[in-house]
Amino acid sequence: MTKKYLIVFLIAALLFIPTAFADVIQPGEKAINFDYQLTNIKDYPDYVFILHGMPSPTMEILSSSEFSFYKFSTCSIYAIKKTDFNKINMSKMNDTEVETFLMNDSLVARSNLELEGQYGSVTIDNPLEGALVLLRINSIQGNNLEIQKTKIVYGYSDGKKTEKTFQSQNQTPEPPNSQNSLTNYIYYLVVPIIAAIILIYIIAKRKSNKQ
Amino acid sequence: MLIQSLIIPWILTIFIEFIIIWSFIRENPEKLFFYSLIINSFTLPLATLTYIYFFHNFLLMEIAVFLVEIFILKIILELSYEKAVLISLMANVISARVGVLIYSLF
Repeated sequence: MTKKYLIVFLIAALLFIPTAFADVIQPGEKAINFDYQLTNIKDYPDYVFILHGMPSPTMEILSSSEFSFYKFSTCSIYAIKKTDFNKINMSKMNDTEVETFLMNDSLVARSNLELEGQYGSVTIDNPLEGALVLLRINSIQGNNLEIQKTKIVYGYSDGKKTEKTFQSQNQTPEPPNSQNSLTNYIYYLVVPIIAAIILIYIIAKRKSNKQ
Repeated sequence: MLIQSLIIPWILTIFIEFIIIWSFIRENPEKLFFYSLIINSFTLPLATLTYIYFFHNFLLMEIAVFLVEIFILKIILELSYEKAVLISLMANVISARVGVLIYSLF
């Protein structure tokens, strides 16, 4: 029996050793990633807009569709005139050449706006599911690309959405306090109460059978 | 989705703990599954609620569930304390570990 306990203890000790993952979130929490969308990209038909970030993506051509990227990346948007873009074969450049080109070349218009991949983490019972940041291109003048975060659209598990306007570019507006859903109420309250009643009933019935 | 974050871990825990209980008591699997369902429907939602809103310590929360389940298993399955401790330890360690692994992967 002692040997059996020792084996069980060793298994238990092994199983409780925390696993190290670089990007793991805490138990009981879920990660919410940012999605982005350039809302007025069609107003600039003469330009190609490129997303570049560290550690990824090296180069992604943007459209009017929503886009997202690796949660630990920080990205920026670059603009190049379509005529220039067609002359330069960026697909033949390696990662370093792409970065050097986007950072330094006079053909490229750069934005100071840095985009983060992850909004953060919330508790698993939070109905928040997504955060879409709407971006507006204000101007392209020479090497200066001016892009602004205008709104953030929070999406919830029931399909509802709420919209908040950016007051400052450095501060993401908080989502409104989410109401506890019916699922939470049933899970945290109704289920344990029913289980407790059944447990008490089983124990009481067993006691009465013994008497 | 809330179903993914609350209901799937609940169902998974019920199945894992049923397999552990059944590996110790190899009789009447339907009854053992029902007991696993009832025990985990009582402990898991309360433990999750406490962990998220009141006491954010995963290990201590698991130990609390382990202790509570010893008594429930002993009474409901009419086991010795030794066996109840063994089953509760194995069931909670393995279900907790699987839970953490699932969070890590998704």
